[in-house]
Amino acid sequence: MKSIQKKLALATCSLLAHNAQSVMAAGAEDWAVDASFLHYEEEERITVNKMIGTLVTNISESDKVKVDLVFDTMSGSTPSGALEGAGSFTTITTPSGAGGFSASSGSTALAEFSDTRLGVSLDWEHTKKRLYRINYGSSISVEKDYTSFGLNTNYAQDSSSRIVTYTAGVAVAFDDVRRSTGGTPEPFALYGGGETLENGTRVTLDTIFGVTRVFNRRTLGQLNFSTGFNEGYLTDPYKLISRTQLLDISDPSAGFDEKDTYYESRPSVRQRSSLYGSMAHSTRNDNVLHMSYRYYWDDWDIVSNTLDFRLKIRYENDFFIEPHLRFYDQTAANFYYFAIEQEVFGPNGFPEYGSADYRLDEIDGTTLGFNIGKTFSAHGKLRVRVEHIRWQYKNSLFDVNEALVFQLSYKKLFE
Amino acid sequence: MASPCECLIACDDENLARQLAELAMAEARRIEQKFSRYRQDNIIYRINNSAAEAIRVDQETADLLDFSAQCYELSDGLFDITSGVLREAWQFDGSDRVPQAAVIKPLLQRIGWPKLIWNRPLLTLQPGMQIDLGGIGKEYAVDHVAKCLKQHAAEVNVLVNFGGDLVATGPRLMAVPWTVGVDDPSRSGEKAVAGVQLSKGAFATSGDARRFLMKDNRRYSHILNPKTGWPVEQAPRSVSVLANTCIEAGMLATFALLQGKNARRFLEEQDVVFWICE
Repeated sequence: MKSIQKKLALATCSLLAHNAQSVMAAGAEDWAVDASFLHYEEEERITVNKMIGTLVTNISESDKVKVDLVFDTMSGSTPSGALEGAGSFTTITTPSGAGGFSASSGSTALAEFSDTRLGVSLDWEHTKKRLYRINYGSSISVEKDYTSFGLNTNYAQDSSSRIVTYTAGVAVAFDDVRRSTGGTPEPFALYGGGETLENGTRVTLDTIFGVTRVFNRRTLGQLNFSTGFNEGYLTDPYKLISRTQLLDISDPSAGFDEKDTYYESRPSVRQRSSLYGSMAHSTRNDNVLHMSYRYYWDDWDIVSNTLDFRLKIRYENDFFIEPHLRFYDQTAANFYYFAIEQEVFGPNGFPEYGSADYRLDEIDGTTLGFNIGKTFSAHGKLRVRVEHIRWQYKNSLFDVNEALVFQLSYKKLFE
Repeated sequence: MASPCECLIACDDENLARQLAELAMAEARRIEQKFSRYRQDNIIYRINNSAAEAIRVDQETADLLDFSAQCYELSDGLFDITSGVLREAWQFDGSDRVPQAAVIKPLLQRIGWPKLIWNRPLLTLQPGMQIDLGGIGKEYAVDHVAKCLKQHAAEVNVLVNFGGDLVATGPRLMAVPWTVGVDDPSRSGEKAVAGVQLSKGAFATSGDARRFLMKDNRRYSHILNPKTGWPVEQAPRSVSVLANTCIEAGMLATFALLQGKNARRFLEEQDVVFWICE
């Protein structure tokens, strides 16, 4: 005789879990509205205000439609990659600029910008026989200097015991990239010179394969593999890179002089893959611990690790608080340079590709924050998210960046 | 549910308690109406009178059928929701009317979960077959009602007890546990064999306290083996199991009875607290 208690517990678990959705919600959850405001602010850099509205409605017992509307305003300044105006160059003792000075505003080292973005996405989920779910989605996003159109589909299938769910998905996106004045600069042309080329276009294809498994009534695990590529114009039409010459070739610590500033140049293909694992465990008093790890790599030689922890602590009266901690690190792209050094490339030579975009540098990031949530009735939920993010760049002019994220969301169900 | 149903609500807000009680009654009634085999206006009647046609069932019924399929496998075919046709031969009224083997044998043709075609959400029975969710329905109703109450008022703990199958969603006020008595089947309603302090969890009892046949000094339990069509021999008179959910407790108690004289060994293999009355 064998123990069947665990299997029975799992079967029971899925019977009751499924019914929480179907019976309780039948008719009750006819549509749900989620409205959210997000404020993102980097110290003396970018500020983003984002308004997000989501509408979900069941159009039949097996079909669900979701519409998302996003409106962003972005403004501020961001490092361009250039070194000009970065203060007195002789004060820079190492290329990492570890002294932590700040550039005067109006220099080319910081590019001022202001833009608005409108995004719309539409998703349709169809459930077949309760064991299969298929999702079709589309999205459009428009900014002054960027237009994106995407299509995606996802398929999920539960095993007959419902203990394992397999998912597969594919997404394709078409982007049009330009400067807000139109066109794109000629790669490695002198800043302010060169020809203005046509708008950049690129195609992105992503695929994802995943397995989710219920280990026991309290533990759920997930493993995803995703792979894809971007092809086309992957350069940033605003980013610059400087050419430097050491003041004293026998003593690099004496500093350098900036000779010229160019538009950056990147490869036209990027092949990306990642592996993601996560585990959610609900403790005896219904607190939920969520841990995840992502390993990412691409053919630009960027490898990154993301480790994420959340602990949702439930209190009486439908209140929860969820501390959140995340560690991120990445290696630099193989064409990332602090600057094009004359000593390496000569007075007129260039690497095959070159970018001084700080986002392609070696980075260490830490996020610390929390979510708090309160359910007022069966039909209203309020949520607040506060996060502080700090990035450390190994080899960039601005070696630290910090951001504060504040988000307020309210979800309401209508009968 | 053909038995007394009660719902104990640990709360000092009378209005809320009334709301919860009404919700509990409404849900219990809904489940009974939907799955009772004694009605002619529900999904079970439609399935059992489908004349071998495929019937499309709703999600809740489909979930219960999926669960029944798993129970059939987990019990090695001893728990079978198609075994109800044996009632045509067996009537457990305390009398000595034990059926002839010749009556039982043809019934076995119409029993067996693998004989029906379950292709969610379509169910097709062979001619003459029937299904009966009675073996799951009450326990399901207990867990489901408790869940509904919890969703309606998460801070209020309740004990839902439908005819002795019960679940507690948390302790009473001031963190006092509920006290549950385990009935002695030989002196049902008069004597308890054990008292259990239950803060959170479920408790279910299966047995034949009042339903059996006696012939030639032999007791025929109402627990029938769907493979043979005959009562399970030397089954305990009742089995009570403590588990996380009422369905789990109820299924383990039922599976144990179906093991006959091996009931105790079966339960010892499981990671649960149990009581057996021989």
